[in-house]
Amino acid sequence: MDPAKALRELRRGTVEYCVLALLARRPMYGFELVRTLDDLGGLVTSLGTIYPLLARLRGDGLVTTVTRASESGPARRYYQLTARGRRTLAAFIDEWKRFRDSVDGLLDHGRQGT
Amino acid sequence: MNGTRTAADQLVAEYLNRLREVTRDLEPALRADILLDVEQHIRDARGAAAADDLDAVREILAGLGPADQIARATGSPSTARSQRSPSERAYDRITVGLLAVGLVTLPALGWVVGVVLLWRGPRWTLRDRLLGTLVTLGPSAFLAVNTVLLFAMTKTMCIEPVDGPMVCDGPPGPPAWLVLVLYAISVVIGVLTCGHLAARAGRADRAARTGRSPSVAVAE
Repeated sequence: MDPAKALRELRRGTVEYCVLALLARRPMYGFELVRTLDDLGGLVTSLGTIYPLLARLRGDGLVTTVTRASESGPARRYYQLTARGRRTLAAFIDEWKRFRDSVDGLLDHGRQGT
Repeated sequence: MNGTRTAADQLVAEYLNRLREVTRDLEPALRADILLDVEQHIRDARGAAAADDLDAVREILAGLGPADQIARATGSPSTARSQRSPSERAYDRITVGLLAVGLVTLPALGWVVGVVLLWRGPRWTLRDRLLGTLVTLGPSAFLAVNTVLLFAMTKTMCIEPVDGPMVCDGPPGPPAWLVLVLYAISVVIGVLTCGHLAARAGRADRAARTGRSPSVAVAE
């Protein structure tokens, strides 16, 4: 039993939904998305590994990209959620809340028993 | 300032070159996406940094993480394949190649080098190493022993009378066809062993690939 490993796997399994949740707010370009993710959660140690994740989400049709002009420098590529991405995120949020409540209930029960 | 700026640009160029190298086997569109995003990330991060100098660039690249880690995060077996450098791939091939050549030639320098590489290589077990050493030596050893035996028998069994031609008496050596068949069998076993060593190297690579975590590098 390794609590650190369990939490690591949990982060690994949920980080892509965190990315979808951020993009549900508004379209973001890569650096903006990665920085927000880093500031809010501190989930990711190597920020560059988010880009393969974004490519995979795009390949799965959960996000798409649009190029927009930038006030400073070349045009930027923005990621935005697709309709499929929104449905996937909504389904995950429902499941996550059930999971979270179950785990919280069990852990609170365990804490009272100690 | 110019010198600092040049060093920072150089550092970025080296990082991107490494990323291009380790993603070279990726599907082209996926690779282009990742390279474009990372390049844009660096540009944006430099623009947002308090100072665009070498330290700032170092910090940005450290935040991105090693290029190899980004490549691994694609989870693509083809990317994992790219984790092996050409020299590592060549090492395995040269090792097995030299041992295979040693099968049909006398154990000359090439075979010796092959055995050294086999024992130093990371992909083979002790059993593989023993097998590779002994079996690939087999055909040459067989020929050598056969030659020595033949010579010894000839020497001890032949008599040359004063008044007549030399007469060889005693048990004859093994027939030539039997020697050839046994030699061929030892070569075939050696070839199969070389195939086993090559397959083992391939399996070790595949195991290493599946053992990697093809995902985002999350916090501990």
